Amino acid sequence: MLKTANLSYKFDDKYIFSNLSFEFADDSVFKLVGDNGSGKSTLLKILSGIYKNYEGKLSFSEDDLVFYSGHKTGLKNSLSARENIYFDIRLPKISDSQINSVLKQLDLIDYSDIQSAYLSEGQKRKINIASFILSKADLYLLDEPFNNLDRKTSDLLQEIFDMKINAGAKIIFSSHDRSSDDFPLIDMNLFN
Amino acid sequence: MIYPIKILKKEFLIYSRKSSSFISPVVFFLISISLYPIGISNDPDILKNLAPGLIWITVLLSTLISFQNIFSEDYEDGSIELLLASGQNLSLIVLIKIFVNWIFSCLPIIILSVLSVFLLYFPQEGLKPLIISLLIGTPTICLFGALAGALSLGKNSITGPALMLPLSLPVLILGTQAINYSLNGINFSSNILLLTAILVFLLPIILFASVGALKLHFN
Repeated sequence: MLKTANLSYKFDDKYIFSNLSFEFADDSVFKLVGDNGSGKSTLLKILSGIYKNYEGKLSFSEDDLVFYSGHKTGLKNSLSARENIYFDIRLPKISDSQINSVLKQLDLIDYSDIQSAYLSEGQKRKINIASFILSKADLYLLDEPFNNLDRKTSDLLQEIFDMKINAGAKIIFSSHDRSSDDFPLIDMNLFN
Repeated sequence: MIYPIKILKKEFLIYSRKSSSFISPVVFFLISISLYPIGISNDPDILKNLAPGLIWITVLLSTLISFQNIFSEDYEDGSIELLLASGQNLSLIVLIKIFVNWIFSCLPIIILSVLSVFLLYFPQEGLKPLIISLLIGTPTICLFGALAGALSLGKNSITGPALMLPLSLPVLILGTQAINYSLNGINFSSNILLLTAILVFLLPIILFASVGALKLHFN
């Protein structure tokens, strides 16, 4: 499904990471770990097609729908949570009832019609999680999805991970946390 | 909903909520047009002769206020990253953004340019070429603005205008000339055809270049 061979990326003549090879076929989840600046976000941007000027080989199934979520949320401050979800380019056509259901699930329903500019960073992350829940992608590339989340939302996100995996989707996500779960790791520090 | 319509609706909503995006160019235009009779001369003959150039220059400068916003917010909030990752047709999205920018920043000015009849003693018979030249010329200026905006993302605010103004000179010359020709009883259709040709010729080129410029920021 997704395979890299000797993947390297350099910025200003300095390699962020080099000779990264992995195959994402049997596993459903990969967790990218590593220090700050080790290339976790860069790798996700390469896999999502944002960065093209890498070295090495990258092959994946072109039929797969990819959902990318980076550090920047892509939310428009002048739009409400509901509108941001409705107009999210990563999502298929979604109904109001689907949006309402997800907003309730994330305790955002009371804030759904407030412009996003007035929401906290955590609430903005929740809007992004709402898009993640509603997406029907085959491959999810998530950059530190557990950051800025309260315990309840973090547990919910974990449940959504399981739900997506059971539905046949695959997830690659980055994290600073090396412990507490059984996900296969890719340690970016090893490729610096 | 198919995605171009979705994006079109989204852009309309965003622009309509950001009043500064269309009020600032309009206010700048109105203030400038009002100041010319005070700063230059209140002699109707002098103003009448200068009016075509003054209107076109003011329109050009008014659009400078808005074009930097075409991509800057998308760049800062991460929307461009999501667009690149989505694999959608970026040229079409850029075209929609330029179109909405034109609707909100240029169309109100074109409508308000009718006021020049009162403020600059602009002859009523010149209104037709004025409106036509602005309707055809300002989309080209918006295209240049989009390219300059895409190239100057994250750079200082003077880079964009420095790129855009020289490119806009042919449009400025042809637009002003069309009005002057009309006021002197000369057929101005060749100028309008040239403005149309420039727009049609540059549209795909600038869309392609703008997409390339946006991608450049991620490589």
